[in-house]
Amino acid sequence: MSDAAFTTLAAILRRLCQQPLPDLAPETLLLDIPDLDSIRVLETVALLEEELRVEIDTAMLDHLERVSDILGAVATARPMR
Amino acid sequence: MHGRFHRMTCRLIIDGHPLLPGVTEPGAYRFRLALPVGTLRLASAAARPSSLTGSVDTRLLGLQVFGLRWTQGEGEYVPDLASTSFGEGFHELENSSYRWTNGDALLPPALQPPWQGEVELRVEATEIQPARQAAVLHADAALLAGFESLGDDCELGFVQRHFDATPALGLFRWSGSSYARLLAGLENGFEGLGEPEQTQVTLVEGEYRLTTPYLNMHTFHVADPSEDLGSVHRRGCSMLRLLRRKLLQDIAADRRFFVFKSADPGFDQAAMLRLHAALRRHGPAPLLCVAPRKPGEAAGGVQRLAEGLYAGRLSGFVLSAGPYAEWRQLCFRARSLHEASRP
Repeated sequence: MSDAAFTTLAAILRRLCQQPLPDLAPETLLLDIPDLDSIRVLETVALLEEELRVEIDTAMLDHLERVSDILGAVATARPMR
Repeated sequence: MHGRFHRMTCRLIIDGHPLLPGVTEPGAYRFRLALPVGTLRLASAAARPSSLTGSVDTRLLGLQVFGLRWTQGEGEYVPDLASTSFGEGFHELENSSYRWTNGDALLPPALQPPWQGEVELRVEATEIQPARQAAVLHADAALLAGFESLGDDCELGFVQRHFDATPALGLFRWSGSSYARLLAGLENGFEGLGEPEQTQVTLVEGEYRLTTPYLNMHTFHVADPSEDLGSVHRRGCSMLRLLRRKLLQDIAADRRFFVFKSADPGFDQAAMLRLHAALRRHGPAPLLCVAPRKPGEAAGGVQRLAEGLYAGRLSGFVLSAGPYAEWRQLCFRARSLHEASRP
């Protein structure tokens, strides 16, 4: 799941951000990704949920600082109802 | 997403927009701005000496201002610190030499020169001791981060930004709504929110906004002619569905202190009770209802109306320009009352 999630996440970020992305890694700070404000972070997570057919625990939205935080939320998500 | 906004420091707020000093030197902050302006405020962090040092001084203190000096070319304008125009947000003149602000002080037209065009404002001031202040700021940010707006506009979001509180985005943080629309949403669980047929993307002043039956939401995304509007709509709908789920789960899990504000005269105690009952369908999270104060009522006062329901009063609503100190007081008192009422 984690490789697939990372690949999907990277593709979504490339789609949403209108500037070249830094080399993405789990430790990449979301703040360091150009054009990624708090609304785009939410859009990213929402699209990721839909593409992977999962629902994350929304409490984890309070703690998204790095790419790994999003991947961690996906890793513990439940299948979409 | 902590750290997106700069740490608190001396700054001007011009018509709701912050301006940091271009130059900071010992004992002074220099700003370049263009006159005329609408509302001009001098903002900073603030703290009460009584909470920092055991002092008996319970005033909220921000900047210790020794003087203001406006310059434009060879022109110079220096308001008299003894002037009665130093009103809202300024304490009394002390030792004939300085005034403290409360962290959010108004610089009315009488303290501005009658010039047009680019000028420099030199604020001769020192901030309350930063090391101790940091602890207070952290406490204020933590306090404000525990609250979440339910509308009717973005004022609480601006207050949270002022105090450097950056909680995760909530459905209503940058949204406009109304009592009736919010009540309908809470009563039916925001049914259909984020469904494509109930969501429109509109272009307002170059920005995409989302229009739904329950709220209108800023995206802060500048319209891009090369962008497919269908794509904007799709991801907007996806985000709304996620935020709906988050809101309902936050209420159910008692993760936030929710706030609804309205200046509508019809937003009375009965309306607050009805809104609270609708919220309670989803969980135990507390609700703070905020309205303008009535004659004889104190700004910043909070009253407990029922278990988990509080009514707060402010001197007024001004969206992006505070009144920050009153909002902080309101949230502090509401949280204190709520904590005291818990077994």
